[in-house]
Amino acid sequence: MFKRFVYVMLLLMMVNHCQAQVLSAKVGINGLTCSQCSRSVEIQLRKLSFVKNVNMNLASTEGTLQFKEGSDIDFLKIAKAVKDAGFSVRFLDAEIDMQKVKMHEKGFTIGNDLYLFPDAKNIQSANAKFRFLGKMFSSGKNESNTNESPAKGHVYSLKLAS
Amino acid sequence: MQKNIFISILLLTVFGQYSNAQELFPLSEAASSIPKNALGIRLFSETYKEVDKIRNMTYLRLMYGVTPRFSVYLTGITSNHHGENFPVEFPFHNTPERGAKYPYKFNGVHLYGKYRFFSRDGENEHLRMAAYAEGTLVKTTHHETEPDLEYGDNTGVGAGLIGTYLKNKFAVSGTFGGILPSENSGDSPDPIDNLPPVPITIQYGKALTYSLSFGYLLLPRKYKDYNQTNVNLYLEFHGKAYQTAKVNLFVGEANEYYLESVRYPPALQGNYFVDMSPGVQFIIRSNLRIDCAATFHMLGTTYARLYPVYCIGIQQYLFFHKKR
Repeated sequence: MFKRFVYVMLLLMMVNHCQAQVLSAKVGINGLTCSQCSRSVEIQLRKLSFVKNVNMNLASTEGTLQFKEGSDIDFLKIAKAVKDAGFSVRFLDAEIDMQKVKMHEKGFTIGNDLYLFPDAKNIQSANAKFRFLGKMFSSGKNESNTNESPAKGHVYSLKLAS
Repeated sequence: MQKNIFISILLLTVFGQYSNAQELFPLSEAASSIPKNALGIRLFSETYKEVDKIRNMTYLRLMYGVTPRFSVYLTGITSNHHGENFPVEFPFHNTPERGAKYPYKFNGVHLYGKYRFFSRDGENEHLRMAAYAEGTLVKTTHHETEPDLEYGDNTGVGAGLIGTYLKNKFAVSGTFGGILPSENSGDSPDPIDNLPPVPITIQYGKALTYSLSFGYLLLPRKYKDYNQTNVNLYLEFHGKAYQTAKVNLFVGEANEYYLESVRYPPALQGNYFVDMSPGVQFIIRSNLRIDCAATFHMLGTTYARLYPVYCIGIQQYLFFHKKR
């Protein structure tokens, strides 16, 4: 009984650890000009299993995403959802709790995903805001992909967001 | 005519003062596509007065986003525009047959596919291009050479290109396409009693279709939330250039003959026209769309309708909320 309790507590602690790594994300959407279009993007984003809440700003054509606790966040799926609504990503930023990520020689990892940012170790602040690079995110030349060793999941290229 | 041109110039001037609008045109398709897996339903009705009769065409359309770039529409069309047979003495004296009473009936179906092949999106703007193909299958005795697939006058196929540019509140869109109508066969009652009806085949004219549409988002001036009712103003110019028909009489009989086109009435002769359609649109809760437009004749000649033509459309999208 006691062992089971310890397992449950450990599990809860692990889940709690995962959830807080990505605090929120903001996606800028190109081509949006009306509330009907904005609503269709919001609906596509809300379909994603790891998305808890979407708050669209029609004036700035940006959406702020909150994520479900303990879920695996797939940023490529966010970009794809915007495309599925018929629009394109202008930028994708994510605020990450740097104290809860696992450092890697090329950046850091969250779960199975590798985030390429060599200067990650030098980030002093607890939270850092990154901009995703790559064609899917309409930013920079570096392509995020899934083939970069050693990550089992996605590999994202990042730069610090302003 | 002068009044119509004056109104159009006035509206264009008003639109031109703003750098901002919308592209959900009441009568034309924009190059943008439907969101993937979204299902839209559209009820559209077109009405005009013909002598002492009210002509009406109403269709129910289902629209689906197959991919982010490819949308398909399936439309069922009903109208009281068409009789079972061609008019008496068709095509000599009674074409078009104005004011004849026709029953309201199901014309047929229209299938439309649109593929957006070019997108250049920017912040609050986009430039898009799409190609479309359409086909209509109807059982109607259309009396004029001008073909129409969308409103169910003819069986046939068509294709074309659409280009749409949208910047803030202003949108402009152009369409250029073609229609290849099929041949139609039917009977024209003989005016002499006891004589059998005259079997006829008619090959309607091929047509080029064109449109230029402008849209402007009037309200809200500033977006706050999805519950604000949007009011959009539109001005659309659209028309066709169509060929002369080809009519054969007494088809299948010993005296079958091809009627020389010089003997056709004007409604079967090739021509062109441009119509102008101002319109207003209300979008409620960012989904329910209500279109109101009126079409006026501007240039050239058409016999397939009388003016003004009043149009109303109601449209709603359904999104499937399956998590992925």
